[in-house]
Amino acid sequence: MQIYDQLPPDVSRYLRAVPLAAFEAFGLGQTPSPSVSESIDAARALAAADNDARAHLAFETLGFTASVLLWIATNHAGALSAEALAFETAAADADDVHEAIERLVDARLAQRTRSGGLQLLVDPDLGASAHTLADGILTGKELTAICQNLGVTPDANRAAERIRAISETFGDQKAGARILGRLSGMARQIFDAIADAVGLGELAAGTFGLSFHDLSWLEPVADRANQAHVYVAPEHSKVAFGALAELVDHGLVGSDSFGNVWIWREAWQLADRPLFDDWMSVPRPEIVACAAAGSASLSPTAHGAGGGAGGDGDEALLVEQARRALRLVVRFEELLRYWGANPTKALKTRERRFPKPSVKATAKAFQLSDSEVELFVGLAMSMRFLLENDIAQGAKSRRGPVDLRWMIDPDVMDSWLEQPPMTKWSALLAYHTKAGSDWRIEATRFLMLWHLSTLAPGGGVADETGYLAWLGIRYSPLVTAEAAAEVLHDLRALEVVTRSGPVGLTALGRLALTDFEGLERIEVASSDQAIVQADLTVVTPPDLDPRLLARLAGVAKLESDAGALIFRLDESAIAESIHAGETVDTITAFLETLSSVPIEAAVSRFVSDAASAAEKLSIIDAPSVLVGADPAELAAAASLKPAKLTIVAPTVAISPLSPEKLRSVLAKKGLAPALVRDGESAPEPRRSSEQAKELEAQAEEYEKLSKRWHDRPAFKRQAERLLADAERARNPGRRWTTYQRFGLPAPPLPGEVIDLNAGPATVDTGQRS
Amino acid sequence: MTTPLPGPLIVQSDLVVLLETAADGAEEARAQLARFAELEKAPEHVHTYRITPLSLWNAAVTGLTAEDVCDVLRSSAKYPPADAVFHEISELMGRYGRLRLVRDHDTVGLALVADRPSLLEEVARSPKIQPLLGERLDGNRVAVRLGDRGPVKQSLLALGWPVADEAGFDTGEELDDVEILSELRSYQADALASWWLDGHDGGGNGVVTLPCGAGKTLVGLAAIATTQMRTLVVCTSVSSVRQWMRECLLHTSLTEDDVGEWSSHRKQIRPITFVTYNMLTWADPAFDDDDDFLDRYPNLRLFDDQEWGLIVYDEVHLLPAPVFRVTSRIQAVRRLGLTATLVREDGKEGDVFSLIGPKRFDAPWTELEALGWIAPAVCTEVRIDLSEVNRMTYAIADQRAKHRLAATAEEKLPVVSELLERHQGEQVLIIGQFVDQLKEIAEMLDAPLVTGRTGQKRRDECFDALREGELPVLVVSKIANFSIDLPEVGVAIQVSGQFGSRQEEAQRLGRVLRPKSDGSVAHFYSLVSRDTEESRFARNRQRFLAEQGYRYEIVDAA
Repeated sequence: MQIYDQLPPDVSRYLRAVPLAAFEAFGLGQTPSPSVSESIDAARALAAADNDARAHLAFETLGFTASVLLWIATNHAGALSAEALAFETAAADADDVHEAIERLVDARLAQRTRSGGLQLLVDPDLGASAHTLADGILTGKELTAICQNLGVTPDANRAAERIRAISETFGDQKAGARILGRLSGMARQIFDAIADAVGLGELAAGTFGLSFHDLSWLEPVADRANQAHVYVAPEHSKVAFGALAELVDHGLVGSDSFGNVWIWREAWQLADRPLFDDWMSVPRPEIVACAAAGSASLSPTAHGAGGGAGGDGDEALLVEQARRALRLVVRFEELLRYWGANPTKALKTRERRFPKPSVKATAKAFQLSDSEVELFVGLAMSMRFLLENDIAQGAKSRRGPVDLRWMIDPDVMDSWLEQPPMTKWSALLAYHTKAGSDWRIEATRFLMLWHLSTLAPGGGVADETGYLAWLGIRYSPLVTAEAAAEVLHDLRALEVVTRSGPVGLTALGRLALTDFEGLERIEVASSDQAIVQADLTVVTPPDLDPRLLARLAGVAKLESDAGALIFRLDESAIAESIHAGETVDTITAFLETLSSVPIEAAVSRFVSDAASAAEKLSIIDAPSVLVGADPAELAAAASLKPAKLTIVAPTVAISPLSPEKLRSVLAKKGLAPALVRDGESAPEPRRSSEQAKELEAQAEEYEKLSKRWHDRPAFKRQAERLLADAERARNPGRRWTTYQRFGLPAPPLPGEVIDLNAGPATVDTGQRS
Repeated sequence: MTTPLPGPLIVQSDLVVLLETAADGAEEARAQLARFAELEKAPEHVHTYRITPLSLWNAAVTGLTAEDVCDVLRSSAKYPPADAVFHEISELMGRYGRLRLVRDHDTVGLALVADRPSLLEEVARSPKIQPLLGERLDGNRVAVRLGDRGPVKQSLLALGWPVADEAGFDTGEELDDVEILSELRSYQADALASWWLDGHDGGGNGVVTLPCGAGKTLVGLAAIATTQMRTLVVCTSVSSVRQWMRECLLHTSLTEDDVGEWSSHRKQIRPITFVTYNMLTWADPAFDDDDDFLDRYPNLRLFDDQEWGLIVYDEVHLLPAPVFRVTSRIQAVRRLGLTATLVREDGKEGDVFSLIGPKRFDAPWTELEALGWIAPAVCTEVRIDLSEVNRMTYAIADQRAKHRLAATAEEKLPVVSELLERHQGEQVLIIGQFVDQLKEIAEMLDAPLVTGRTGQKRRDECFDALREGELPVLVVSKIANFSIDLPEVGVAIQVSGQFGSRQEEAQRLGRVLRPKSDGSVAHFYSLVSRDTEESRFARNRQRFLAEQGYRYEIVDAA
């Protein structure tokens, strides 16, 4: 998807500098996704916007160096001269600084001045910035006193003028040196100590042995006698007090009644040190060849144009990866069936995840790791396979205890099962890419995929740990190495990113992200035979038809998936199949057809035994159960058609009517059975159509919020998202088709590639103004 | 579709190797695979091997390189193996030899030698290894006590570092030209060779696994003749001891003066001495577990008191715990473990390997059956319906009582009679778990009964009579599970068993697997009460045999 070809170069550069803007513009967090033209318009609008929202979008992923530069510039009143810039960044990596400045410029947060400095175009409102003389903490009298102490005469008798004069004095080299020279040794020491410890931040005066009582005396007006009746004057043996008083009187240091002291921003110039010296730099990820990422000839354009995926090697690689991806789908369906049969209790906190013990139990049952199970749970929830169901106990009152369980929506399951295999996998990927309860993780996922998609096909990042650290630095503050690690784990499990070795998009992942239609064209031709052995194991080749695989997974448990697949026929799985409508004959026939060798008697007997055990006991979901001591009486009641009774035992009958209704029907015929309430009724799995109403109600709330908050976009978007979800909830059969186009846009600058032959990563950006 | 290569092996990325027996080249591939992989199971069509660190390191001992192993896999694979497989094999085999255990003449003990000080430092820091190491001798060497030879190797193995044991063996007292008089079958010779390794220090220890009736005893005797050293043979029972002694005199040049029985009946220490596990691990009631170990188990001194050059452990899977402890102190002696079923329900097979040595040889049961070395066998599970009354009794019984009720169901008795009628004229062994039930059966059939309470003399008389064909039916308890050689018994009826023990099932089948003189097929019946715990256990019991390629016919009792 060469969407960037349709954007002006500066907009493309903007999107590269502010990747989350691409996320917004291309609707990658929204459903349904906007059209291409809508995306382009949105991108242009975002790039041109001149508001806080645009700036904040950029701040999220400025990267460590750029974020610090922004902060430094803010504390230089929004402008850094070339000399100041050089001074402040002396300890930083020059390439990092250069790249950071480029990013700030491309993101329209700053501009270069003619003299080579940096001028901010926004007020970042980063909070916790330095105290300035203009903060309003100092009174006019205090400012006047400072001017007097400094020997400064402001042009006018206004606070702003006084502050300007003081600032200019500090900025003048000679004047500054003179001021510093006048200070006592202790005062200089304290000044330096504050600068070293916190820079422009606040330091507790207790560091110097002073209390907040003492600081209350630190006022540059000669009116300390007024304090005598409130506080005890500090002992003048506290040398630090005197020194601090000097600094305060000369406008170098401020204090508050909470016991904090700080250096005024205007006075920082006298500190003669950079504002920040703890620069972090992580080596750029080294890009190496990666076999699982396909060859360099695997290009989305070629594939998308129907030209085939590179060479034969790529074709084989795609097929192999597709096969693995489809096994993932089979595993996912196994888990859905398991959760359908074993509804999991929801957390009281209503968090959208399973309790840890349930995760561990599932992991153990399926020989998966806890994190893999959590990934599948998350997918099942976001794809709305799993819905929360309230099961009221006792039904005595609305405030009664509620048992909340996650249950499978049968409509969603039915429509899912009809989908072609690769569509299923891409749906898993789409939901994983799009949805998520944690915005940070979602954004991290996007950024990682976005970055990996900039690597040429066949390339991967050599060192995983280094890469994660780099992502945390490059996309700071939003992305952390820990979050990136979590995302990488999931992407690997989904076969989007290579499972081992260099970190790169798999050939299949690249295809999925850049040429969705190409996915559907992959022919995962397959075998249709396996070996069913007397010891109840079934050995299938790695390329067994996914449909056969899915059916086999319905009657057997996967024991090994390390090449060929080894299943073992399983009693409980067979029982579930029987309950789902299979019979001994159909299962046996399936195994006989599947097996390339004759089925042993032990196998057919096992199936027969398992089926028999499944049929011995059954649970009947019945709102009403009518019990009678006399079978004849019961039979008489059952003959009443309106009662809709079915006799299940000589003295037991069931009815779909509610107890009250049944009683009423029987009462009309002169029968008055006692109404006995006990226990809980079996829950009916909730269906998406019921949920649609809730989603619409939630959407309405967000609409109201949006109106109340001046059409705030976030609320509006959320409302749109909820409405779209409600629509899909009503039509589960259509849901899978709305995610055809979730693909990630190609890198913003046409021709931008990571050159494998250029040693450590370099970025040849091609066009640049 | 992936076009498969012509090879018979499917190499999984988790180092499991599946061998398709029907594929071209399967035999040759199997022979190659056995050098560096362990056979896990061998049902009819696909055998499962596992390449483990231990199997690779043992292959390294024989001189096999990582490249050799990888070549076999590449050339015989049906689908191209993942690169990670080769990488892991190289990595694992590369570790062998980096740590060595050698004799240290200065300390008159042992020394652990590393190829690099950093490696020694790394392993020495392990909390499990540290207590086993003595003083640092130099940058690359640290002292190890003689008695800790086994634990050091075991602990380092667990840490992922195999130790090349170059400390050699104590030679023990030599024997005078012991010869084996019977010709070994090809697989017996292979088993011996795999264990002995031409006298290399890396050989002379380990476990040989052969099906029941395949002649493990002869392999043990051949090992004695090969090592030519004073030997202690540890057996499961006195009957087994005497059986070994008979075989010894029959198949070797040893005389009665050369062989001795050390039991509660006799205390003979001879160049070849036979003892039971029970005897060895007899606990003196005058001492308890807090006292000195050898005071508590005084008979274990037998290991130390003589200059044994070889110790043979029959049915080594039964190795009891106290023997584990003392065995680890006699790692300087060559040792051979023999078993048909290296399966322990407690999962401690690894301990056996660690202390006796690795599995050196394994042969699929069905292969030997096909070659005629063991009798072909038909296994049948007879399913018996409980009466309504008994079903109800079972249903409401306590969980612990359920198994016994199902196993001793009276409905089994007529089935036993019917089976005997079907096999009239043949010799039948009836085996069970519960003595009361066995008594009832013995009375019903007017057949002798041998249980744990039966005196040795009576036991020997009954077994001898059965061997000689004088007894048509013998009813036995689990004491006949192991080591009792009954060549002409062709029918075994298992009326009850010990829960889900796979090992017991296989051992009981083994009672009838000696090839019959008339070449007839052996029959093994297992009576199981339908829809009870017993049928669930039966499935587990049958698993081992199913993995060996045995099929169970399942019939309903009429």
